[in-house]
Amino acid sequence: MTEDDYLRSVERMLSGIAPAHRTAVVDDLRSHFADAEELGRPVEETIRNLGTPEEIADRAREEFGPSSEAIDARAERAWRVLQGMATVSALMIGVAVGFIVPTHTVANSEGGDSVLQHLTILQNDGLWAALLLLIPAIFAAVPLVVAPAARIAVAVICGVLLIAVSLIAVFTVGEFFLPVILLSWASLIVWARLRGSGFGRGWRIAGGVLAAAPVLLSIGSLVGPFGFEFGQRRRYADYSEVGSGPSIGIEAPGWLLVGAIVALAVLIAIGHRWAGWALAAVGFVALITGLVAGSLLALLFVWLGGWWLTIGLAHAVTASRRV
Amino acid sequence: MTESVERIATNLRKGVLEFCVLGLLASSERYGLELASDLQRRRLIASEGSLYPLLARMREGGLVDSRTEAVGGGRPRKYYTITQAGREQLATFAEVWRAVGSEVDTIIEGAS
Repeated sequence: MTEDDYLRSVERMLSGIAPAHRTAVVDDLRSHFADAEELGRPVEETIRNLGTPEEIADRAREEFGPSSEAIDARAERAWRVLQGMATVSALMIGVAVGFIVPTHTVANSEGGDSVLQHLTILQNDGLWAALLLLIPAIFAAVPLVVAPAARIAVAVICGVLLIAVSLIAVFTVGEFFLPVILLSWASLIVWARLRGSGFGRGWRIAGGVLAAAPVLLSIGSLVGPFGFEFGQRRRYADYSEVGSGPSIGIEAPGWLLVGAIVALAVLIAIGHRWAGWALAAVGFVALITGLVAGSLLALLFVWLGGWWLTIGLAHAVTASRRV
Repeated sequence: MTESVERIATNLRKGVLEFCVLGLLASSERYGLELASDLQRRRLIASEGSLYPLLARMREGGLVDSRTEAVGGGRPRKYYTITQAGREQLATFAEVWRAVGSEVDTIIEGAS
C-alpha cells in the first residue's frame, strides 16, 4: 500500500463525518507522512505505526459521531417525508379513483339502443361511496398528528388497517392503494432503523436490485421464453381485452426509461443520494400518469410508480451525506 | 489475562488521552508526528493514526490551536499549541485525577 492508497482509503472511510473534520484529519495524516519521510522512516513502517484506516475511522466516529439528538431529528425528518408522501398519494389516488377516473362501465339502454357508458364511482355509486376512497388518506395522515409516544402503536394499527381496507376492496379499487401501503410501512422501517443500527451497504444494494427488478423482469418476460403479451390493450374497468390493436411492446422511449431506471438503481446501490430523489421523481410521475391515463395499464403504472417512489424516497432520506 | 489487561488499559487510556495531549502541549508546541510518536512510545495510544481525529476535535473545541511554519524545502508543517481554554481544562483534570487517583489507591490498598 502506498501513501496515496492509504489516504484515499481513510478518506473513503470517513465519508460519514463532516467534510471539515475529514479534511483536517487527512491533511494531518499527509503531513505525518511527509515528516516521517524526512526522518528517514520507510513508508511501510509509517503505515504500520499509523494503524489501519479502519482504526482511524472508528476513532473519528467516536470523536465526531452524530449526537443522539441529531440521530433522532434525522429519523423524525425521514419518517415525516415518507409518511407525508403516503398521505399525499393516498389523497391523489382516492380523489382520482373516486371522482375523476371512470372505472365503471355500464350498459345503458336509451330508446332501445344499448350504449356502454364509462362512469366514475361518484356517478355510479354516489358521493358516499366516493368519499369512502378517502379513508386510506386518513389512515396515512393519523400517525402524523399523534403524539410521538403513541406513534409506533398508531402507525402499526393504521398500516394494518390500510392493508385490510385494500384487501376488502381488492376486487374493485383496493389494489390502487398499494403505493400508500408501501410508503407507510417503509416510513416505519426507516424510522426504526435510523434510530437503531442504520442502513448499511446491504440495504442499498437491495434497494437498487428491487428498483431495477420490475423493468428487468418485464424485459425478461418480453424476450424470454415466457413472453406474455405485455402490449395487449385492455379496458380499464375490467381488464378485458379490447380488440387486437397494435402491441405497444417497448418502444424507444420505453428503452430510455428502462436504461434510466437501471442506471439509477446502480447509483442507489453505490450510495448516491440524489439517485434516490431522481427515482422518487420518476415514480411520482409514473403514479400520476397511471392515475390520469385511466385506460391503458393504469394499475401497472400506479404500482410501478409507488414502488419507485417508495424505494427512491427511502434511499434519499436514509443515505449518508456523501455526494 | 493479557486480554483483560489490554481491555482495562484501553478503557482507562480512552478517558485520559485528551489530557495527556494537553499536558504534552503545555510544555512545548509539537507537530503531529512528534506528538503521535511520543504518545505511542508511552503506550498511551495503540496506533499513531488515532491521534488525528482526537486533535481535530480538540481544535474544534478550542482546546488546542495550530500554526503552520515552513520547514526544510519550504514545506509547511503544522504545529499544535495549547490554548488558554486548554490550560484551564488541564488544570481541572489534574485536580480531578489526583482526587480520583488517591481514592482508587486507598480502595485498592484496602482490598489487597
